Amino acid sequence: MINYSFYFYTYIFLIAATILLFMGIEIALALSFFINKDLYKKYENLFLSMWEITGTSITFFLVQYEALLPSLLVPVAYSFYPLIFIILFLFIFRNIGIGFFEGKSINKEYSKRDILIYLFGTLIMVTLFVSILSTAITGYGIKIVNGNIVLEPSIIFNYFTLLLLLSTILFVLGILGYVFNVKKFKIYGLIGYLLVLLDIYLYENTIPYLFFFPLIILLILTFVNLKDIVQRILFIISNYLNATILAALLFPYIFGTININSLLPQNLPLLSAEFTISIIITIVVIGIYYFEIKTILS
Amino acid sequence: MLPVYDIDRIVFASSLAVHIIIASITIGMPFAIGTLELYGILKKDESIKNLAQRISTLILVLFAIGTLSGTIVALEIYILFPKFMQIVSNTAIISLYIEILAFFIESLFVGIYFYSFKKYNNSILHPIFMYLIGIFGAMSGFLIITLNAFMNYPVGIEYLNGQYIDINPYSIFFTPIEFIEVFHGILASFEFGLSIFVLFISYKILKEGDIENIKIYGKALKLTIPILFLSILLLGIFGINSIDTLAKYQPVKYATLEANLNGNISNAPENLFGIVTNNYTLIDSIQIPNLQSLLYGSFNPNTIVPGIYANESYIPSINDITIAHNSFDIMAIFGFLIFFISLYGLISLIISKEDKKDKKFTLNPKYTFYMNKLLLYGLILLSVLSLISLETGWVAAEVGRQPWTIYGILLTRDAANLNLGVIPIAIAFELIYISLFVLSILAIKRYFINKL
Repeated sequence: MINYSFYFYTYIFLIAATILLFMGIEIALALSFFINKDLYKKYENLFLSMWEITGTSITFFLVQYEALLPSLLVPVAYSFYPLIFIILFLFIFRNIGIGFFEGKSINKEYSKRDILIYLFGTLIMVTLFVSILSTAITGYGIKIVNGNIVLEPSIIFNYFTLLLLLSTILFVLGILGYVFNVKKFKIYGLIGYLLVLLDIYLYENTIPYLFFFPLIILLILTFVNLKDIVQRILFIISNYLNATILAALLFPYIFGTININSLLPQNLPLLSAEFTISIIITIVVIGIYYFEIKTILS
Repeated sequence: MLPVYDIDRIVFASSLAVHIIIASITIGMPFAIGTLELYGILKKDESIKNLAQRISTLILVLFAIGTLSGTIVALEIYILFPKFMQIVSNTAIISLYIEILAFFIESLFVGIYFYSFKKYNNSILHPIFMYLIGIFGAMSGFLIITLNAFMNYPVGIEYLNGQYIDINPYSIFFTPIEFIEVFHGILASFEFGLSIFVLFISYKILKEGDIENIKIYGKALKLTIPILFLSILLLGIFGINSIDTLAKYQPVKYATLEANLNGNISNAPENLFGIVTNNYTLIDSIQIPNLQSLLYGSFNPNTIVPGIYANESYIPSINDITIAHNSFDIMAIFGFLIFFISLYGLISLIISKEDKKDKKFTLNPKYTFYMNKLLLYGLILLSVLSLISLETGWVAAEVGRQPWTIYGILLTRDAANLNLGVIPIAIAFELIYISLFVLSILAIKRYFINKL
């Protein structure tokens, strides 16, 4: 018997990890436009096409959330709407920017300004996305009053979110090292991960031993010279391993206190259908995306 | 002052109106571009192949904006109508779930197409990638309209322990109105997307002075006008069938669209336009005696057509009936005009000879079709009418279902987010969004269309 609540809970963490990974790669490559032109030129096509899959993943995250927690839709909609509208506004900014310079890139016409517009929108969007994820994990920044969720400014300005944001910035720089093999940036990724562990320690008063497995992978990636492809695969594994461990440790809670087992649809045929389709989506998307990357980089 | 749920409706409707335009173009236009490119490859016609590849940049930019507008619609429907999404999540989420798969595949093929010009140069695989963009775009449309069919005619769900649950997740695909509504909706999008392509080519011919370039554009028109005509013909057939289906399965909506406000009656006139007054009376309309009964009942004027009474519960408000009824009439009348313009284009394409070197305004269909200014302006008009028909068709479909969001299950006022704080943010957001959309269209013209 499949434990659907655990499966979908983990699955949504994996989608969030995918969004962060893709956005991290996008930002890292956008930064390389300013700090490493050769690298940028080499992966220009990948950078210009990535927003498509990132954007789709964000929509998938939304649909998965709607499918997983219908009972939370109403209170979250009533309380999170300002934040969500801001994210939408930035999403407009970002997509129009990137869509245009991808179009213009066919004639190599885009400028530094286009990339800056895109970077601005994306960075703030990542900040808000990480803040929402952080709140979903800890519950900091919200209060539950009579079944309603009340949003507070501390949703961003709390130690957990701020540390997580700092580590996200370092994680992005780390991507330049681990994925694109710019060696001097690898150490930032490692420091970023240590900050995540510090964050978890401050929140839980302990660091679950499972987190040492991804740490070991990052140590190897930072200090051992590996082939590019091995390095990339290990980095991606560590990314998804972290998401899975986090999901396993936090399950079944969301916002720190709400038990999702009481919120999940109790409808087995629907859950079973969603389970089947989620497997198909994963396999098909990975397969076609692999083909796309090969086509783009060739 | 409008109630909060009406403001939610207006904000969401305007976002959806924008999204429908973009999504429809990315459904229809890829078929025109793919056909052109395929023709260029098979006939070894470099000029047509290059034209197709140049125009394809438009798809890329529109896809970027479409991803954006689609995500906005997805988030807005949840923020503005949370109770609706709550019920959908418990019952009909499977169509949205599969739609994500279609959306993923479509976006992946966008990337594959645009970064494989060199790799698959002169390979028929390349235009096939473009067709796949259109096919998966259409599949997304199919799945979204499936959800809409469920909203019109919910099946396969049960009310248990205070909430609706799904007894068969796949039943959403088998509502009795599914086939007609989905194909009608997809064909309307397909036709509009094609018409935008034809508009672009017609505009280019009108602006172009070089006869050789005009001939290339003319060839593009020659390839697309027959597909456009066929899609309009099918759209008409499905449109007529959808009215029959509506009368059978959604009689209240049928009565609303036809503004039948005196209950079920025989010898019903066809009411064109008009305004519904406070006592649910239609005024200022044009009435064609018996026509509605004739059309509804296989040319028998005594056929009884569905109607509503003012004192019935859960019927649309007077404003909703006025909007839905007039939108429906505009859609139908423009539909006929579109058909005649495309028919004229098709006849001209078949009987005209390609011997004229000057552009001329003439009714004569034998004049070289791509040099005939009347036809070229007619095709531009066709795309404008298609846009209006597409939008008014959806307005009629959605407003005509009021006061329900999910028929018989969820009232719109219960579905909506009634938090007053939503209003200023949503309106401000919408104004910014629509301004940016207009700016995007201007930028597309400046950066892409003028340079193609």
